[in-house]
Amino acid sequence: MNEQPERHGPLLENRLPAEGINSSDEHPLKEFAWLIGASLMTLAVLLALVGWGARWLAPLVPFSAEVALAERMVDRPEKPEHAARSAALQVVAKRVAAQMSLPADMSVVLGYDESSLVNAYATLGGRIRVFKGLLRELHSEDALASLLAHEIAHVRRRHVASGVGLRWRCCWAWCPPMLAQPSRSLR
Amino acid sequence: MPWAELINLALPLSLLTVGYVVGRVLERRHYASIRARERELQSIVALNTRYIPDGVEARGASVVSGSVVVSSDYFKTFVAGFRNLFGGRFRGYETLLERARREALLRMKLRAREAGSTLVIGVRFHTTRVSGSQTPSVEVMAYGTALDTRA
Repeated sequence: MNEQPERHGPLLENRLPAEGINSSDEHPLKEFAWLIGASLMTLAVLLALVGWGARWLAPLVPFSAEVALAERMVDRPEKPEHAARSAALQVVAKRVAAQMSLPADMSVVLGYDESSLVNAYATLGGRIRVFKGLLRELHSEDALASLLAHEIAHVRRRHVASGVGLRWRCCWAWCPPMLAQPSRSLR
Repeated sequence: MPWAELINLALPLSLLTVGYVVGRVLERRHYASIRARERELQSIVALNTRYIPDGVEARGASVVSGSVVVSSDYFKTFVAGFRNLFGGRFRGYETLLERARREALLRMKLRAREAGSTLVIGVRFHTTRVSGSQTPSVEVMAYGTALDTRA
């Protein structure tokens, strides 16, 4: 079958295809590693930029916007039996805030929490909550004042607002444990 | 909850591993088979000229074609997804399509041999994307005019 008929003219042939021209011998895992590495680097740069942006933008957000957000997300109706304690904390906080030259458009709202956790935190809109467990550990009004000064500093320096931005960054990086309610806590 | 997250991570990882290992073994086997058959069918000449070359006595002609449908694997598709971001050579797809073209040409040559021909002219390739599946797959067809060169 394969014998060629008698013919004259150019030699007609198919040589075996050259290898490695239309395809590459490079190991596929090398490309894979390179692409994964480049993606992680890109993600890291993006996260760093967003983190930096959050810290830069937070002080530029009007405090009233934070308050509006707090009224929607943070504020809960206070239990009547806690009203007196919250009011007492508010009096101390007001004196401390006056010493700290809190800007005119900022204010703090104190709240008492009956949890036995030794903790206090500042959250959106200048909301500060102090836990019963922590109040038990404080033996003087000076100690309470210094604690409140710490929390008010968080409010004044807009740490909560930039924290919201940073948590948003964590949403990107699929880090569910960091999606907790935006708050700054003192340990 | 951690178990659910572990499965979320483990499933794509195992798919990647299976796709890579199986895909690579199949690709190597396919290349080996292609090279063997290319040597076997080297006497069937495929040209893309439109006219019968000088000195060829043709008693008849018929259209022959060979086609193949190949699919990407999970690993190749995954890597190609990154390529959408960074650009560059789709190396995995290059080997995939090269295999498809060589296979299609071989199948066409086989048809030509069955038709008693040792020369196919006017050979063309045609590539079509096959839609409807998650992983990309393509059909590559080679076709040409087989000349009846039997003396």
